[in-house]
Amino acid sequence: MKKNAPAIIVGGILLVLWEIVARMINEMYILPSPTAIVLKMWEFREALFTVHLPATAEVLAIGLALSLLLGIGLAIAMNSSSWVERAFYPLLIASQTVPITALAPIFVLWFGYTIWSKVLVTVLITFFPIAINTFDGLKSSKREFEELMLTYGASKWQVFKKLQMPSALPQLFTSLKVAVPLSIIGAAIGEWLGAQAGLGYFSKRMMTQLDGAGVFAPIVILSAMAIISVIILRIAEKKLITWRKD
Amino acid sequence: MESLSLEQLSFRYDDKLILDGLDLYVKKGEFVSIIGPSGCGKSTLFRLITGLEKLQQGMIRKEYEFVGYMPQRDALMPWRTILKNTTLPLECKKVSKADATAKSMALLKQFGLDHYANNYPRDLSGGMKQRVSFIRALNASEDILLLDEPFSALDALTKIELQDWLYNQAKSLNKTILFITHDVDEALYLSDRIYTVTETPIQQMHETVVPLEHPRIRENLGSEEIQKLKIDLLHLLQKGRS
Repeated sequence: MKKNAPAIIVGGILLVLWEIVARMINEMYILPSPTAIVLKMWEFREALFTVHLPATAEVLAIGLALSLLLGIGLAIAMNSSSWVERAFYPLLIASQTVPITALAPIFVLWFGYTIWSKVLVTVLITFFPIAINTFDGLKSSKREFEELMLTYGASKWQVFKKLQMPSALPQLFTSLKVAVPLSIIGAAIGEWLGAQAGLGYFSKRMMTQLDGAGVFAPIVILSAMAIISVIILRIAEKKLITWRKD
Repeated sequence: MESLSLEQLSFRYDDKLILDGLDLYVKKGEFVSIIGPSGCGKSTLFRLITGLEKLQQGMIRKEYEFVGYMPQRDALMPWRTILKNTTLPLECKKVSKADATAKSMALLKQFGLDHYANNYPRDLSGGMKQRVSFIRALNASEDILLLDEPFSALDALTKIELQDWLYNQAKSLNKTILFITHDVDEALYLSDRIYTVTETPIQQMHETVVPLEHPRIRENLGSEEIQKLKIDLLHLLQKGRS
């Protein structure tokens, strides 16, 4: 706690300043004060927490699960077969430069207002960094360890499980800490374009009604979700990665 | 009784001939050192014995299938505890977890490292890590150990301590050991026989029997006979360099 004290103090001061400036300007539909946002969250608490939050959470859960499955799966396939690696690695790198979120309207066109348009935007944003980082992690295992295991008569599976998997964990977590917040952006954008529920959808509806606090409220919740998920990942990382590579 | 026998071994890397009809043998329970300049092919020899390189010409006869390889740097996996590092060879051989743990804990205890069983390599000093690496090599093989300059990265005091330690372990466990080193004194102190690389590609190595009794006493290294032998070996090495 002591380490975080300065940040908490400065954060608190900024919140207070925000409150003061917002009240002075007094145009709540543009710049709502923090207290106005909290009141709005309370006013809409039922809708926000029982309808829209679960809707977005569902998109995120399915999207991330798919991304992990496909991303880690492809990484393992590329690791096992040189042909698969040469086929897909350049494609993966190239795809990183494509503005994925600009592709979102395509998915709404194809999948309409079903959950899949939003899930696919999420998958597309998060799948590539997970695949590439996991693959790099698998490949990063040191040759001397692999050779040592071969002198012990280790099978290919044993080398994968005992050497490559632990070697890949740090990279996997790095990619997750990036991918999970990105997935929240992806879900929100998907909802703006084609949804009838969800925190992103809610903020867009409030935007059209010029309700400043109403726009901020779901965004605060989305931000909290991102922060909490990264904290959870950090805790998991500390528990699973008990060594530090120097 | 020979634990290891190399016959007419020839080996080529791309265009370069490294070994040319080499013969070598190690008897059961013997401590044999190989000394030679860097890059002369000693590591290639070890790689052939451990099976990491495929034979091209010649034969290798081993009494046991697996050799216990102890690499130059300790190569302990940082994500495994000390105990799990030592059980790794047994796991690869599908030994049950209970048996592997029991065997390794007994060895760790014997070498005074059992308190560190649940620590990680980063908690240990260089000398301690080399001892763990040695225990791991013991788990890898019934009999023969290949030690690749295991003490070259240690400071002088730790080096002497570990030489004494290795000598005692080798004799009490009656292990067959093939040992690579640059250090002629180290080879003289530890070995029954010394092979010296005098040329590349390696055709035949110069063979010396160390005329010292067991148990070895460091002071005996200072005798006139041993000092003369040391100078002869150094000359051979210098000849091999040029």
